[in-house]
Amino acid sequence: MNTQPDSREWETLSAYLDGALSPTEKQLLEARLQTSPELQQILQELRITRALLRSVPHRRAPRNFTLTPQMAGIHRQQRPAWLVPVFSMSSALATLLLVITLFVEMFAAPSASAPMHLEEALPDTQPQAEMNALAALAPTETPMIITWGHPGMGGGGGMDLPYGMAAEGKGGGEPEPMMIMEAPVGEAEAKQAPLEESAWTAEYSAAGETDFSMQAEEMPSAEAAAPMLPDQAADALPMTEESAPAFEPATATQENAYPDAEFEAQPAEEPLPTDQPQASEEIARGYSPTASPRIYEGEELPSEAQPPLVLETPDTLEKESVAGEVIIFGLPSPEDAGQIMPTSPALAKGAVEESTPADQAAPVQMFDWKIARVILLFIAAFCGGLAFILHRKNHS
Amino acid sequence: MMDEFALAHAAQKGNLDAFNRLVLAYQDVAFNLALRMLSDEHAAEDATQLAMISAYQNLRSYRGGSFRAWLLRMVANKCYDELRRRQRHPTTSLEPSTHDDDDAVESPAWLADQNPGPEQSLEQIELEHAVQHCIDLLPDDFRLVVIMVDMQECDYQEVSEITGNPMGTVKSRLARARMRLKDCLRHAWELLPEENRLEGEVL
Repeated sequence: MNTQPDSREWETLSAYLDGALSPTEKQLLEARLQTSPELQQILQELRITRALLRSVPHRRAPRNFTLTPQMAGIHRQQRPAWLVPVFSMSSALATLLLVITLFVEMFAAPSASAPMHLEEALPDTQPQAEMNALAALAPTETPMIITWGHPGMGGGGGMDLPYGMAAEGKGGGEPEPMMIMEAPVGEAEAKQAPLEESAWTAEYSAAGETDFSMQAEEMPSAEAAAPMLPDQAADALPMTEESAPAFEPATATQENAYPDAEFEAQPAEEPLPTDQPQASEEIARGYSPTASPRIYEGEELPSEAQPPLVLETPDTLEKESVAGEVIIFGLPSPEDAGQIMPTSPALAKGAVEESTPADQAAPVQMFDWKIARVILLFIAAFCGGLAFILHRKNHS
Repeated sequence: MMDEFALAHAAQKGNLDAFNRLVLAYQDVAFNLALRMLSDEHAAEDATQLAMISAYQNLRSYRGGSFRAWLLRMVANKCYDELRRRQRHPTTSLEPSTHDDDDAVESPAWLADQNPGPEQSLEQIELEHAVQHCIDLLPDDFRLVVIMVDMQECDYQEVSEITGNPMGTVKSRLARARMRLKDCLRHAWELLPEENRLEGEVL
């Protein structure tokens, strides 16, 4: 029945129904229709089928499909999408910058803290270098020393130290401070002539040891102040108490040069008591609580510690009278002075407290800091990658 | 007679009113095509609206010729999108299954869904249902061609433009679709209006 005509005949019949056959094709088909009642039957059924389809009523649109400006606006609002990729990429870009920053900091910071490049590193990693010095001092002496150096350098130097102490008490360098001290010396000499002179005087008056002179010179530089103590201690150890008065004249000369010199001179005095580190620490602690309130007393104390040789200034003369008894107090007085310098006693106290335990805790904390940076770096990299992937997904 | 080319040209320059006049002129055809293709009124509405938006956004691709054919092509594409989506996320239709037609016609839900106009007789409703049912059984490509030729009364050339297929393909698909519908709709012949049946028999 229906299967007799092949697909080509179907097409011909269908086209014939629509009048889409060429005249020749139409003639051929009509000729066949005459002889084939089956084809006529199929054609008739197709005709009815088409009539059925055409008789299905047309629906009216249930509503108007006209576009509102908002709907049409979709097209225009997509234009700014050109900018979207830029902004969406900014997060990834920011993360990339963070990674780079952390990366540089991670590998640049340790080298800067190395004593060798102290001069270069000073501007950037001053706190770290200072911390190292502090840590080295911690066992022997308390922070007071740290403060001295800064007045020499100027207000800025003084400010830096306490900050450095508070920020990174971890600096683990033990022997490093020695080296650090030496580096700045050269510059310190050139910049601060008066201080140098005092240092030299101290040097000659004392044992004439070059080490000491170095220390004295270093003192003016902010970082140098701290490390000096160990050196001084080392020097002082061999020396008897007699050497102590010998140092004092140096401090006196410094006073002449600068009013602030008193503080700077004090380190020279310290070596005397530092013969017994433990004792000095005890003293330091004992004074530290009281030291903060008496800022002015602190200033006076160093003057008291000054040796009798300082005859030039009348002020010092008065102090000298007391000084003879105070030699023992010479130790605490520098502490007070040191605390005074930062002007905020709290910082000085914190420095004192940190310095003592710093020696042991320093290396461990340093390690943790590195790990934290690495972790932070990975997190940042992960976030950046995520942002980039999301960006690509959104615009794919 | 509306100058559809002038309107289309104005619409291409951003004249939304001109475009909306074209929409009003062809929205019935577009909706019916979508309705027959998707066999669902709401889906047809969505497809028609999306097609209009798409048409406005792609007005630059209209380069003269029959705007109706160009617009119906947008509708057909949206219908294909919807059909593909249905294949990915098959859902049970509220409409009755195609095997129990008698029950379906008596179903209130079915009648309500058809939303017959007051002018539609019961026979017309049954006819529409029967035709839709048979059309649904066709492959998508066959269905599109037979809808456009036999229900929208497009010529082969227009269908070729809309579907993007060569004329031979259109003819072949139309013939195959008609042959299938012939068998499917045989039981619905009595629904054919008298005058139409006579017309068919005469020829």
